[in-house]
Amino acid sequence: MELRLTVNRTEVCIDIRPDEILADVLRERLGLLGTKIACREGECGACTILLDGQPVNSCLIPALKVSGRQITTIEGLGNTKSPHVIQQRMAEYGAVQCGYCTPGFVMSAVALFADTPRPSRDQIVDALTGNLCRCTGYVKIIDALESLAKDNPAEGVGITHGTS
Amino acid sequence: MFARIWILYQSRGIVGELKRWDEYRLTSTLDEALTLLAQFGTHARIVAGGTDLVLAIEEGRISGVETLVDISRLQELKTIQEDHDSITIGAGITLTELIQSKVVHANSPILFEAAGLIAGRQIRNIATVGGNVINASPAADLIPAFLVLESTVLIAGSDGAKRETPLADFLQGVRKVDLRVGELVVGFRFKRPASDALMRFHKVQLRRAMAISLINLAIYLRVDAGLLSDVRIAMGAVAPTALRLQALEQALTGMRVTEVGKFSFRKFLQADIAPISDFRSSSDYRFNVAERLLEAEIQGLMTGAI
Repeated sequence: MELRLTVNRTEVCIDIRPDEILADVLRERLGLLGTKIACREGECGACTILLDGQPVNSCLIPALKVSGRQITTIEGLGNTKSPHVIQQRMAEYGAVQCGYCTPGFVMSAVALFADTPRPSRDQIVDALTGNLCRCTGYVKIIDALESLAKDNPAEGVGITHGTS
Repeated sequence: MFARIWILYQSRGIVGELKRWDEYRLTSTLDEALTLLAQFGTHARIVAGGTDLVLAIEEGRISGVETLVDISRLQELKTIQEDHDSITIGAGITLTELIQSKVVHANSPILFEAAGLIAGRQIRNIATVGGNVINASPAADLIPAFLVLESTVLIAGSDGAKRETPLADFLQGVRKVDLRVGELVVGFRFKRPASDALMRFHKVQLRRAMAISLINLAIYLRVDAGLLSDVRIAMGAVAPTALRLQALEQALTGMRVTEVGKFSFRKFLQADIAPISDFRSSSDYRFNVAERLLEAEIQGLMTGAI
């Protein structure tokens, strides 16, 4: 079946089976391997992407459900040469160990800062409850985002700030 | 064991040979969805957010699905309506939309509290109010809240058929509801709570988020001239369906507020609930927690009322 959608500001039209899951389509059909799959049951948040700007678990979404909608993956934010401010800040704070959960955390954080430009520590913790990390103990991730909240420029941290 | 792992592996990703479903139909109007449901009968399954259904299919708890009928874009299911004496919540409202609704906030804060404790942000952004109720998990968090609001379920069928049934009757067992082939839940309706109603929702969970309730509790009551009135208490994960605690409600109704501290809940709870032991907690634990929780929450509400 034909699936049309917008991924990272680019319109995409691909042929898929009717029972494919969004996370698999992103990774295996579109080669966007930044979105990770760990638990495949909506528990860990490694597969978090933005659907029309809102964070969702792509491992539980039938791909055809998102026909015509806007998807943003980690690749749509920034890259090693030109990281998004959230990626930059997490790198500076050492908020990454094995790195497998990191794209999911970044996507949740981007959605938080888009809604709430200067979140409190509690708001940061609350926004990350759907993301699990088994390495860092979360402290450095939260510290990194709190530091950004403190000197966040008034214009906020949108997804358009990434120069991908 | 290895065969099972191999089947799980094969069923996952795109390389998998096992089919999750044969056909996916994204519908855009209620009529279109009802027509498809009538056409496909028992071969169709309804999907809204899909966070429960897709997982059940992935884990093999549900198999042989031929057609998924996606109702998540039906505008008819996406409204929260406020009449002079009642409130209607569309079944397709997401948990995030429920939390953000000013009508819900102002009139039924208990729904707002319950929805905020479900899963995490990523799930709440796509999972729906209807899905939480219709899946009829004994631990579903919205169900006790709807039960104390004495909500009904609005159901549409093919050929324009409509019916409305009390939620308490709609729930028939573990993951069993009174929904016939071809029918679709459109929304939930309840009377606007009294302006002096005291409401409270409490979820007992092992983590701050992403946890299934060990027990959940919803309380609605009023205090009239120092006496408890209109006492409604519902609990989840203590019986095959979430339920109203009728023996306890009767015992508390008409009680003097000052006597609640001396009241023994145990006898009445034994008549009302029958928690099971499972991997989340034991029956004894659930029973003891239920008792302490009721004492604490009802006392807490009284402190606010005196």
